[in-house]
Parts: sequence; structure tokens; C-alpha cells
Amino acid sequence: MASIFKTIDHIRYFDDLARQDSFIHRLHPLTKLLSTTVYALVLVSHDKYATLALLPFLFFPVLVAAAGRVPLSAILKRLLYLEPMIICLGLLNPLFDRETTVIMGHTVSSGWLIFASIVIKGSLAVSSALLLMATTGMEGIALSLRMLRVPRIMVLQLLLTYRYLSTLLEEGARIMQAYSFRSLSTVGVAAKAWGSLLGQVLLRTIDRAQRIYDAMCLRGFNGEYVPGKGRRAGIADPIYLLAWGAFFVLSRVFNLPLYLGCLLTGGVR
Amino acid sequence: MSHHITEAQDLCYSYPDGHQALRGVSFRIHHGESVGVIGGNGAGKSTLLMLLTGLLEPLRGQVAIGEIRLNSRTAKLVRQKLGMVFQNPDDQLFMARVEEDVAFGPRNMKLDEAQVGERVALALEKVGIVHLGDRAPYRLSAGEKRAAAIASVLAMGPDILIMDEPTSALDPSSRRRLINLLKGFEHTKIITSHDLDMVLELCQRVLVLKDGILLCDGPTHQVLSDGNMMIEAGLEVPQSLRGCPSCGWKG
Repeated sequence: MASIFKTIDHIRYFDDLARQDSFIHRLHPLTKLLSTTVYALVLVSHDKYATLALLPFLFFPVLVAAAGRVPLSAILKRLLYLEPMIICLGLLNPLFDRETTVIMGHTVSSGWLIFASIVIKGSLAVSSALLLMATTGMEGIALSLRMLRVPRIMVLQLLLTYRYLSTLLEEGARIMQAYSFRSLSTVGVAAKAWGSLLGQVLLRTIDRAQRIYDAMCLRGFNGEYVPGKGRRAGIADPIYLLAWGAFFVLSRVFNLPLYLGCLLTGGVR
Repeated sequence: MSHHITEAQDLCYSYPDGHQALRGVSFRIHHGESVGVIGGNGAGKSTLLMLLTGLLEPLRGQVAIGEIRLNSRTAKLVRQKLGMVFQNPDDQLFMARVEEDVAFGPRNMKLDEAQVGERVALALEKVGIVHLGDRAPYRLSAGEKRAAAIASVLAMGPDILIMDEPTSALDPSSRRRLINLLKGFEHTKIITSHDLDMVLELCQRVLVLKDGILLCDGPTHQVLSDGNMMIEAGLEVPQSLRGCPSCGWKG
């Protein structure tokens, strides 16, 4: 039961982070969405063997987290939840790709290299998405998506799913609380109670969602989410976007760690 | 504010499980009136509010707001004149910030952002929670949530304010603040509640429901003092009308 309350807190914590005031928070949501999207696209466009070349891409999440006053621990903790999925995606590569390759004088299995590349790319992309959430909030993201002419039904689905998630968890927590107070067992839920508990959660959540929908309808909602204008884009927005865009392109075209290494070891020709 | 009359004629409603929630309820509420709707549990109070707002369609009878008959085609227009505050403010506050929530209605009315901003500021000021505009609704106390829910409705500029159990789950000081707030509103008010002292203080007229039937419709003081009728409706004469056994005050 405690874990449900913890999950609700996790969601609310990100909403709280999005309400902070910092340089990153003051940027227009569209600027942040575009920079994150370009970042993710450039990241995944790297060669499947790329590992060291991905290192400069660590700057983006680290700097955004620092400037946005988002604790890195908050991002890393949530990243850990998704890490098993990322690892599963790349796990078969070491088994099927038995080729070897030489890196910096060391012979390395190509399969493991691809695996490492997938994990790094996945972790960085997920971190940047989490940071977007923590510095923009779901309403800001929805506003940017509408500005990019994403169909309103998709944006609405995204927003309502996000809100429905909290509703589902709140109802789940209430039912689990009632169950735990009256069950003699101290560990988990008895197998025979699972069916009725889940059914109750579903029915109560549907009821609650209906009441929320009724409240929306009474305030003029007719299937279209009308976002506000949000923050105005300032001079910092194009500069931010161009600076990161230039950095991403440079990091993509040139292997910056390799150049830096050669420079430091005197290997530059 | 236009002079709207809220009229219910022979309202009947049954739920899909066969439970008859309302059986031929009729009344007429004039502009500026404060009307309490009271009755025991299951008397049909909440169903009546849902019918008045068009969230449910009556099986028989009709609701009219001013000259507009409420039906699925006119519901949108009618809802611009009605504002409903739900029993549980958590059902009503769904945006990430109070300001955003209050702006939800005006934005749906397609007002420009400057007008939306004005309405939000005015609504928050009216209920005295300007300082909470940037807060998340789930971080507010029950009383603050209720005030935010009322602000979200007031921002739409309704003529008629409908409230379902507005004082439930409020501590005495929050309840008192809410009553004082509602006293200041010139809107037509329709309030369902079990808090009969609040009804006595806020409403000049009261409708008593019992098993879906309108048992009584009359001046609040007179109706609430009628002990026999109150018992028949599954209620009690409120404390403030009972008198004091020790000092002999008649109430």
C-alpha cells in the first residue's frame, strides 16, 4: 500500500518541480520540447557501435538539471525503474553478434558494444524526457504539441491519461487502505481477494472519472482542450535552441571525446 | 446579471437498476433567491442537481432556465448560466495549478487571454485565495479546495450557483468562512446540505425531499421548525431552533 502512495507522490513531485522558477522553467515550453526532441533524434542517429562518441551528450541532461534546479537523484531514481526495459532491449545483441572489434588497442565484442550503446542512448533519452516533464509540466507539453499542430484528440488523450493515472492510483490506494485495515495478513493481498479488489478499483475509478468529466462539461468542455497562451518566447529561447542545436550537430559530426583525447595525449595530426 | 427563473416541472428519474430517485418534483425559483434542498440520504437531492444541470436527462418532466428548456441541444447554453460546485472538490479540481483550474471554464468560453486573466484574478479575489493561485490543488486544505472549486465556477460568471453539500468535510472555522463568503453572493443559490444550521443561515426558502417526492416547500424558518414534518423527512430540527432546556430559551 505504501508503494501506491509513493507512486502518487512521485507523480505529484514532478508536477511540483514543474512549478519552480528557474532559467529553464522560464523558457517557452515549445523551446524545451524542440530541444529535447532534437537531442533524442541526434542521439539515436549515432552509429550502433557508438559509445565514447555519446559522452558529450551527457552535458545536456546534466546542465538542464542544474539550471532547472532538478535534483539529479530524482531523475536517476526514476531512470532506474525503466533501466530493466532498456537493458532487455539490448540484451540479445551480445548473444547474436559474436564479431569482435578493436577500440583503443583493446579487442571488444561487437555485441557488447552495441548493448552498451543501446543502454547509454536509452538512458540519456529517458533522462531528457524526464527533465522535460520536470521543467515544463504536462500542460506545457500539451500546449507545445498543439502549437506543432499535433491533432487535438491525441493531445487530449495524453492529458487525460496523465490525470487518469493519478485518479486510478488514488482509488487503488483507498481500497488497499481499507483492505489492509481489515485483513489479518500483513504481507500483500491474498490471491482470492485480488479479483474483487481490482474490479472495485476499476469501477470506482470509472465513477470518479465520470464525475471529473461531468465537472469539465459543466465548465464548457466539449472535447477540445483549450490551453492558455503560456509564457511568451523571449530572446533566450532562440539562443537556447540554437546553442544546443549547434552542440548536438557538432557532437554528431565530430567525435569530440576522441579529438579531446588526441589533443591531451599529443596525438593530433 | 439577467433575471433567470429556474423551473422544474414534474421531474421524474429512475436509475438503470430501477431505483426511482425522483417522482414528479415541481418548483420555481426566482432570481436572487437562496434555496436549500434538504432530505435524508437517498431522498433524491443529488439527482435533482444533476437534472438541473443537464448531467442527467429526466424520464418525464422538464427543466427550464429562464426561457430555455434544458435538453441535450441547449445544455451548453444553459451551463453558461449555471455554476455547480461538487460535493468533493477533488472531482472538480483537475489541473496542475489552481489558476489553471479557474481559467479552464473561461478558456472554454473562448475568451481572449487578457479576459481570462481578469476573470481568474477576480474569482480568486472574491473567494480570498489570490495567494493560492500558483499552488497545486492537491496541496490545499479542504477549506481551500472548496474555495478554489467555487472560484473555478465563479470565473464563468454564472447567474445561478448550485452547490452540493458545500460544508461537508470542513472544520468549523472553514465552514464559517464559507458561509460568510456565500452570504456575500448575489447569485441565485441552490444548496443541498445536511448542515441545517447553514441552510437556516443562508437560505430564505427550503425544499424538503423524501423518497424522490417534494414533501414540503416553504420559508426556511417555518419548515425547519416543524418537528413532525422534519422527522417524517428523516431529519431533525436544527440545534439553533431547539431552544435551551436549562435557560428556557425557546429557540
